[in-house]
Amino acid sequence: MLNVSICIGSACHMKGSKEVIARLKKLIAENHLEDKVSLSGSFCTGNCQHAVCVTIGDTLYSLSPETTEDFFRNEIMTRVSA
Amino acid sequence: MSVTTEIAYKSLNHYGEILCGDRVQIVHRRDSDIVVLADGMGSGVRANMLSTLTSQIFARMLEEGAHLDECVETVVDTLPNDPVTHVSYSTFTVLQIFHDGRATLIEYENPECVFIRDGEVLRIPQHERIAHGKVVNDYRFTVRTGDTFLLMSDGTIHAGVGQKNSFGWPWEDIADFALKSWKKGKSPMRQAIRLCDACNELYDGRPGDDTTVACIRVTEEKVVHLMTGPAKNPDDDGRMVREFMSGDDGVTRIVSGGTSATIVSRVLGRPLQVSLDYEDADIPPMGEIEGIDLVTEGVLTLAEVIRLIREYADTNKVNRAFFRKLDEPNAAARIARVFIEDCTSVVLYVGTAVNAAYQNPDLPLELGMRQNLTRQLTDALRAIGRPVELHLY
Repeated sequence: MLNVSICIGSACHMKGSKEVIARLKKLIAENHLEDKVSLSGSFCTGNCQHAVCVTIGDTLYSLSPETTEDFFRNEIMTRVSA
Repeated sequence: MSVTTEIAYKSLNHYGEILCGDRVQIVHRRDSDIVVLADGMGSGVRANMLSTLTSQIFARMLEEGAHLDECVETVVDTLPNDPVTHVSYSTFTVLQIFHDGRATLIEYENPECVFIRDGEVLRIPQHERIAHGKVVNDYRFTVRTGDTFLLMSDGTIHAGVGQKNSFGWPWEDIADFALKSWKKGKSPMRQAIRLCDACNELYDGRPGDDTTVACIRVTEEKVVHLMTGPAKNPDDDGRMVREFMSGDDGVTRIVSGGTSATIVSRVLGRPLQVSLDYEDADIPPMGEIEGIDLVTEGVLTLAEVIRLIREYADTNKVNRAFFRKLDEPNAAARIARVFIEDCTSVVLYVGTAVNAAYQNPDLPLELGMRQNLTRQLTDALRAIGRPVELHLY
């Protein structure tokens, strides 16, 4: 199971965590990846300047609602289909 | 025994009047809490002035440490009679509850106080005495935790006269209603609002008299600890968390802030779980740490908490719609609910570190203002009668 953690702290919330979460949930459902990818929340990781902060393992990604789909294709799909 | 009180009141103005002729004054003294409900004769400006005069004499004298008996003497002696009807210009009820449990209830011409203990209405014994030619009822007793008192002006027993109840709302029926309401939910403000709403309905929305209900509940101390923001010097994190965790199991503990929650989790060695469920689009979801009552995001949530407390402080406007908002499951409503309905004093543990990322001009100003928020929260809590102790790190 691939875990993707999304920060919902103050700065990330302001930059659109809610929308990023909603888009990721939708993309996971559309691609029937519920068994392979799990989403979890995290509070501030100390990287607020990169909001919205998303981590897979120890790797930090900086997302916005607009870049969520690219992130899904490049980072999630590649990992689960490999 | 050490007891304290929760006090709330609600008034309906005589239809068409801007000012209320009833007046409630609350005095918190080192030895006791005191509530005065005065009802000035007539309505509008005149009634307002008379009840203000009466309740202010009580409040000022009591604040200066006067004995309640002296205040009663002074007020009764000061109150003029109406030359035509020979009745006093203002009636009053005063309830003083000492922190050691002793209590005094003085009633002068207001409807009898509804006293609820252990799920039953107790009638107030009549111990009448004469003061300056006027008869006051003087009842001295010992309170217990959970005792609830409803002080009322006569707008309650007159509710609906000539409309829905030809002789008004009988005291016994009011007491019945108050008991049912008490069983539904015990917060004093909710009870005061329920009773006032019921009167307003009997008046068909056009009260024929100023109507006021003050509700007092006797409780034990309920202390709330809230921690927000990381310490300026990270070496102080451990000390800050230990002090935040001090006190017994009865303390309600709230961590408000993502970084703070992470610090608490690390210092206590307990995992932090963060939910992705948005109960409200504007307020980030909550977290969970074993042994902490509420774990939330910081500045955005606290800004909403402050808005809710300020709304509650405006007794003229607080109503059932407000309590619907307060009952919502989002993080801010849950914190506000604790402060408003389950708290007698607050200790704030505030970290003063500045989050460099918040200085980013793309982010709203609100984020960089934890110090300002803390001050606003402290003021808002004090305005609703919650003493606040502040610790900065």
